[in-house]
Amino acid sequence: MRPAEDEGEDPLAATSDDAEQLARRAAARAPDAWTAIFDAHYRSVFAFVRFRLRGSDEAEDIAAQVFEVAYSRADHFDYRGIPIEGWLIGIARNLVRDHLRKIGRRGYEEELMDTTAPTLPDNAIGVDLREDLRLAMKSLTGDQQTVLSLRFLLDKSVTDTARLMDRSEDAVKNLQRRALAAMQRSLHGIDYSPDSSP
Amino acid sequence: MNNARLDRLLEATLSTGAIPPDASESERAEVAKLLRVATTLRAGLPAVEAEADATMPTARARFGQYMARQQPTVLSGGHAHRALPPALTSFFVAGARLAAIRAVASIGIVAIVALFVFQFLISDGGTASAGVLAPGDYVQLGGTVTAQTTDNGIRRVHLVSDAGEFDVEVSNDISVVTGQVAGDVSAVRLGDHLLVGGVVGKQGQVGARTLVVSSGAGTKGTPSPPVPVKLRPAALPLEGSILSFSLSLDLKTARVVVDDGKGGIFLARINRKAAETLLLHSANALGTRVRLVGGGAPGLFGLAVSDQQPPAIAPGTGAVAATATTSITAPSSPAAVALALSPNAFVDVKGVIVGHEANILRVQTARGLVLVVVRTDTRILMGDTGVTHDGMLNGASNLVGYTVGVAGGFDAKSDHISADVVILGPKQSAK
Repeated sequence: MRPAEDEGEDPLAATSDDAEQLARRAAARAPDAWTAIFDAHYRSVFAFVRFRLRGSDEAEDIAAQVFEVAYSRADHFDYRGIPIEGWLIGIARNLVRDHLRKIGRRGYEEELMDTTAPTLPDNAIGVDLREDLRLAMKSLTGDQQTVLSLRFLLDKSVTDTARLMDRSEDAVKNLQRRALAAMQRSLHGIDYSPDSSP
Repeated sequence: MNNARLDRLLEATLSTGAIPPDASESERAEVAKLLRVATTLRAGLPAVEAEADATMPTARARFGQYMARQQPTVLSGGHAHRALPPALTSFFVAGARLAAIRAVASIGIVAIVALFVFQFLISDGGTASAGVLAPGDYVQLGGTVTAQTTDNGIRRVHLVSDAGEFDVEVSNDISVVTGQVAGDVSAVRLGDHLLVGGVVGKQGQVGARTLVVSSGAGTKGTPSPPVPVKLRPAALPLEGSILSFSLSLDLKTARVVVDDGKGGIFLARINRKAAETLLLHSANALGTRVRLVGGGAPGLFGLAVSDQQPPAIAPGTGAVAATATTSITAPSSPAAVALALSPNAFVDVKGVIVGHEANILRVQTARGLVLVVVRTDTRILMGDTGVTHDGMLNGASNLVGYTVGVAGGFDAKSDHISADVVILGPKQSAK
């Protein structure tokens, strides 16, 4: 059976019935369900972790682990209106935290500093930007990082963000403002927005 | 300023793109400041999305293999039924139904492996080489010619090999070696086996600098593109033969695709020292038998060469054949020396630099003297020599006495070796 996306459907179909059905099939480890989940969420999970990590390879590794952990715990997923995406993001957040703790204990070796820097020659501005953002992200709280990721990297609405974070919409708006302010302080006025002058 | 009001103004601005007219001057300034941060955050997204797309095929393949490995665990049956957690029992409560579901799942697990492999093969760009190459990489790879096209004067060759599928752009002015003589690109035919040294373009295509053509030596029939799986530390140590090698533009990392000889094709990112070790052993990395070990950092691996001697490539398989030998005797020119050293492979020079002028190196090898042209786009690994890139190109550094490995092609016009990669080793006295 082909995954839902080949039939022109969004695996995260809008209706709660569809979402619940997908969650049921995922809990039963139905292959097409996990295919659809991977294809629907890999990019989001990758983007979510990428801004917290130094390199693309690390992000790929953690993103892949997210789905492995989710699959291994499929029968623990308790669908009560909580979207699978929220569950995956939660796993991603924990894996990144554990990964950074491990690195913090061990310390990045100089070689890693050398070798995990992005190597694409044609987007130097993008490289600097990502590094600046990663460093700025480090200074935020976990919730602040999450709200910025969901709102501005994954382009989630306030409503969706509230649902994914299990918060009220007002709480998300408040957290979002404080997170942006903290980010602004951490960036020290660095501005990569298109209308900024060099 | 009231925080709740600022929250509302900010959200309204993010939604509409315009600061609400009822905002005061100070509120307007605050919201504009926060809006710039949000814009900055979004500005980083396209590059990340490109990375996500590039890594998705290998991550998908890895996930498919993970699920396949979980099959016995997931389907643990018999008397070892695991207690179902409350969340699942809310879905499935009847034992008979559970058994049926497990039966379905057993079929499903088999199906998902096929599904993921299939999806990998039809993934973005129609190539199974995603993750193996990155734009700007210098690459050595080989494969069977399965298609050729010419578009706007650019000849494109599609290769399939055990390392993946690759699109190669071939121009008329590149170095081509057929057998042990210089050839030209018109010699390339469907079914030939090619070794390609080149640079990866932005679309993932390889711009060939050097071609080695083995006529009619490609894999017979329609080769099946493989699924290189990203190597994980749990699989170490892993021994196998290199199917492709790529070196990043900044020379800090390299990637190898390794065939373990047991049906496993693995993609590994290796550190700079490992790349230097490999190229010093043989600047022609393909077919080299290596042992991959930990690289001292997440996502990176080290490498030790298992071969006692540099490999020769058996066309069509990428496997290691007998030690490179040749029946050519008394080479008559420096280029002939180099070609004799490297039958059916990239020109692979190892020796000691005995002189240099501007960007031309005189290298004494076991078979004679060769002249090597270092181009501006030649990748130069300096090791621990302290020699600089500019110093080598403009002749400012004293290179005499350094051991050197060179991979590249043969420039028929100048009778010189055209270097794709140069690796400097420890200093020795020239004999």
